[in-house]
Amino acid sequence: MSIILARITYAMFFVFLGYFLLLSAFYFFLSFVGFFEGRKRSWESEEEDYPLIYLSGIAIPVTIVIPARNEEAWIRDSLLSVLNLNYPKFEVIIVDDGSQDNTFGVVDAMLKLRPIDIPYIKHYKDGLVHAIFKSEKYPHVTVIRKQAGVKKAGSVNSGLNMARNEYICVVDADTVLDPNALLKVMACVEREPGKVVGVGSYFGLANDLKIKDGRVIERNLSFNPIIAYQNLEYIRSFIGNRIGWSKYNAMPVVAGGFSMWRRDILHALGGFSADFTCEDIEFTFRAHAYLAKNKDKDHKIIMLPYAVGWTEGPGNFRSLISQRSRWQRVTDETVAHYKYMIFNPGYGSFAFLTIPYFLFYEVFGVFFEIGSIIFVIAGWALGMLDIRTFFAFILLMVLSQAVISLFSIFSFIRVQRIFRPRYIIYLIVLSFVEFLWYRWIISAAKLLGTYTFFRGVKEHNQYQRVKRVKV
Amino acid sequence: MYNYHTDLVFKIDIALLGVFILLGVMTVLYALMKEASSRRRSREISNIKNNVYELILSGQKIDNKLCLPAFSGITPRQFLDAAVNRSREAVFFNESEQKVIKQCFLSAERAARIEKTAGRSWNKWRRIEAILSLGYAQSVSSLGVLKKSINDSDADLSYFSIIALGQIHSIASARILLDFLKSSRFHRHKVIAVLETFPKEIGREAVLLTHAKDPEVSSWAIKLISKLKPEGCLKEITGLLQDNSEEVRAAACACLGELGDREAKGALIKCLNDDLWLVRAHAVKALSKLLGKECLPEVIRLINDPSLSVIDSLKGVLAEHIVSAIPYLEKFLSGSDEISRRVAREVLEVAGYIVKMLKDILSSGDEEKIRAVRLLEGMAKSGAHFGLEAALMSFSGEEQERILTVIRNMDKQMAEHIAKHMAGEMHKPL
Repeated sequence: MSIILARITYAMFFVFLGYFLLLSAFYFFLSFVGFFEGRKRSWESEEEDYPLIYLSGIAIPVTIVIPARNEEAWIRDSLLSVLNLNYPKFEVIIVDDGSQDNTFGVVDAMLKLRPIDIPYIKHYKDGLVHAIFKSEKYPHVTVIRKQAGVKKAGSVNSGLNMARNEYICVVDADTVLDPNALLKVMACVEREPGKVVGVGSYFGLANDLKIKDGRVIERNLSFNPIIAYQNLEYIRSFIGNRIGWSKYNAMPVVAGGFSMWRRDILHALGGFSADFTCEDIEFTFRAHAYLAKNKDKDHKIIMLPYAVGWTEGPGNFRSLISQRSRWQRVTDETVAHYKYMIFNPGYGSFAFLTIPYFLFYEVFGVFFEIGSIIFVIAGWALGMLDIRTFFAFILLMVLSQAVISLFSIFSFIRVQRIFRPRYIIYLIVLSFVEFLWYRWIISAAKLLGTYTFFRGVKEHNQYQRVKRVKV
Repeated sequence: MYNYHTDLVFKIDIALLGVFILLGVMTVLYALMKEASSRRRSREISNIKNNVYELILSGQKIDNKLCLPAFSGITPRQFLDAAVNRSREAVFFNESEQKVIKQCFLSAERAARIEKTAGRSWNKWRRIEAILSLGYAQSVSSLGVLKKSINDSDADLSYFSIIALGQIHSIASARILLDFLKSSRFHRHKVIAVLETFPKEIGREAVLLTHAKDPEVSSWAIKLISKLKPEGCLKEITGLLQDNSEEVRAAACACLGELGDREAKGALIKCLNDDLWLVRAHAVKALSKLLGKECLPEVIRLINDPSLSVIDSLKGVLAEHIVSAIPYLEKFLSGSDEISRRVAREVLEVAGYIVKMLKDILSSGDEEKIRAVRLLEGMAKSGAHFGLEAALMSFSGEEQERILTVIRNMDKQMAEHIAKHMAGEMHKPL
C-alpha cells in the first residue's frame, strides 16, 4: 500500500512541478511579447498627432453605451467623465436597467431629460423598454429606461438598438474615463479602420482615488491590500498577458468595463448574449469564431496599454469572492461552449494558444493549485516528502508567481507613469507574499465559481458597492 | 524513498529568486530613472522656452545666426515636445513661440543630419522622430526623404510620414499624399484627414483621382473634394453619378450637396430612383443641402421607401425644414400608413415643434389655432403621448388645463394618461 502511495506521490510531484514550470514559461513568453508590444503602442501614442484627429471632419463617430443598474453612487462622475471626453463625434446612450435606487433621478437632474416618442426597433434581445428620453442640456445624450431581467447584455443590447454610429464603446457605469480615452483608442482604430473590429485598454481601480466632477484630481492609489492586489492582478492580466495575446490576434477577452466594437460585427452576431453569466468574454470568443469562419484573416481584436479610466473594485473579501466566482463561472461556461474550437486549425492562433491556455490555467488551474498545496502538505505529513523537498516546492510556487507579477509590473511602468516608486515597491512586496494568502482567497472564489457552473447558476450577482467619500 | 531531484528544484528556486531580485531592483531603478528623466525633460523644455522668449524679446529679425547659439543642441524629440506641445502640462508654447522654434530648428547642417536619420537610422522610432521633426519644421527640401519613407514597407514609418507631409502644406506634399492614396491600400482615412486641412487648390489634383480603377480610391477622392470644394469640378462629379460602384455614386451625391451648385439638381433627383439605398439616402440629404426647403416636393415620395436608412435621411430633412414640412406631416398623420404616421410623429418631436403647436392652440390667431388643433388631433389618433407630456411641462397650470381640455375632447383616455404622467409618476423608480 505504502509503495503505491509513494509511487503516486512521486508522479504527482512531477505533475504539479510541470504545471508551475509550464505556466511560468508561458507567462514569461507572454510578458516578453507584451513588453515589446506595449512599448510599440506607447511610442505610437507619443508620436500621434491628436489635434489632427480631434479637428478632423472625417473622424469616425462613436456611440458610447453605459448600462446602469443601481449605480447612484457612481453614475454622476461616470457620466461627467464621458461628457468631458475630448473627441469630436460621439453620442451617449445610458440604459437604466430597472434600477431600484435613485440612478435615474441623478441622471435626470444632470441631463434635464424629456421623454420622446420615437420608433424603437428591437434588433437585439433586450427586455421590456419603458421609455426613451433625450437630454435638453446635451442633445447627443439619450436615456433608455427598461425593465431588469436580461442582465447587462440586455442593457447593452438596448443601447445597440438605438445606436447610430460605426463603432460602439461600452463603458460600465462605475467607470470614470480619462478625458483622452476615446481619442487614444480611436487613433488606433483610425490607423486601420477596416481591420480593427474590437479594442480593449487597461483601466485601473478607482477605489480611494479622489474624483471630482468626473475627473481624477489625486491619483493616490490605495494601499489597502485587497485593492492593491487587484491592481496587481489587473496589471498582470491587461499588461502582462492580454497585450501579448493581442500581438498574435488571440485576445481572449475585451473587458466589459471599457470595450470598443465595430457595429457590423455586433450586428452580425446579434448583439451580446444573456445566456451566459457575463457577456464580455463570451462575445470575444464568438467574434473570433465568426471572423475565422468567414475567413476574415485581416481582422484585429487589440489590447492597448493606455490607462483609459478607473473603475470600482470590490472593497472587501465577500465582494471580491462574489466577483471572482462570477468571473470563473463565465470562463467555464464560455470554454465549455466553445470547446469545439480547441486545436481546430480553422480558428488559427486562438485555437492553438488562447483556448488551450484557458483550459489549462483558467479552468483547471485552480485544481492544480489547490491540489499541489494539499499534496505537499499531505506528502510531508505522511512522510512521503522530506522537509527539504517540501520547502523547495513551496518556494517554487511562491517565486514563480512573484516573478510573473514582477515581469508585468516592469512592462507596466515602461508604458505608464501612474504608479509612484513607493507604490511600485509596495506591489513588489505584495507580489512576493501573494502565494501565501491572497492567492488562496482567489482560489476559493474560483472553486465556488466552478461549483456554481456545474450547478448551472447563471445569474449576474452585483456585489455590494463601496460607500464613496464626497470630495 | 524516490529521488525527487530536490537539488534541481532548489536550483530552479535560486534562479527564480535571482530573477526576482534582479527584476525588482531593475523595476525600482527604472521607475526612479523615469521620474528623473521626466523632470529633466521638463527642465530642458523650460530652457528652450526661455531661449525662445529671449529671442522674441530681443525684437531682432530671426535668422540662423541669431538662432544658432540658443538652439545648437536641440534634439528632434525636444523640438517635437515644443512644436507640438507634447509637454503642455509642464510647459506650454504659444503660436508665436512655436513659429520661432520652427524657424530656428532647421539649419542646413542639422537638416542634412536629420534627413540622414530619417532615411537610415536602425532605430525605427528615432527615424520616426526625425521624419516628424522634418514635417513640423516644414522642411520643403526634405520632401524626397518623406516620399521615400511614406512608401516604406513598415506601416509605422509610412503612417508617421503621412502626418509629417501633412504639416508641409504645399502642392508638392499633397501630390505625394495623393499618389500614396492611389498606390497603397493602407492609411487612406488618415491621408484624407490630413489633406482636408490643405488649401483649396489641392482639390483639382484630387479630381484626377476620381476616375481611379479602385472605387475606394475614387470615393475617398470625392470625399476630399467635398471638403475642399474646388471650383469647376461639377461636371466631373455629376458624371460619377453613373459610376458602376454604389460607393462612388453615394459619395458623388454627398459631394454635389456640399458643392452647392444648383445645376446638379436634375442629376440628384434622378438618383432618388437609384436601385441602391445608399445612393438614395445620400441623394435625399444632398438635395436638402442644395435646395433647402424646396427639396421637399421631390424627396417626400421616399416616405414609402423600403430602406429604413433612406427614411432616416428623409426624417432628418423634414425636421430641418419643419415649417414647410407641416402640410406633409398633417397628411401622414391623418393617413392609414403606420410608418408614415410614425415618421411624422418623430419629426415633430425631433424638430421640437410640439411646444410651438401647443402655443398655437393657446393663441388667438384662428388659422394657427385650427392648424395646431388639427395637428394635435392627428398626433392623438396616431397614439403619440410622451412628446406631449414633456412639452406640456413648460406651460403654466392654467395653460396646461386648457390644452388638456382640447386633448380630452379628442381622446379622453389619452388626456388622463398624460395628466397621470405629468404628476411625476414617469420619473419615479420602476
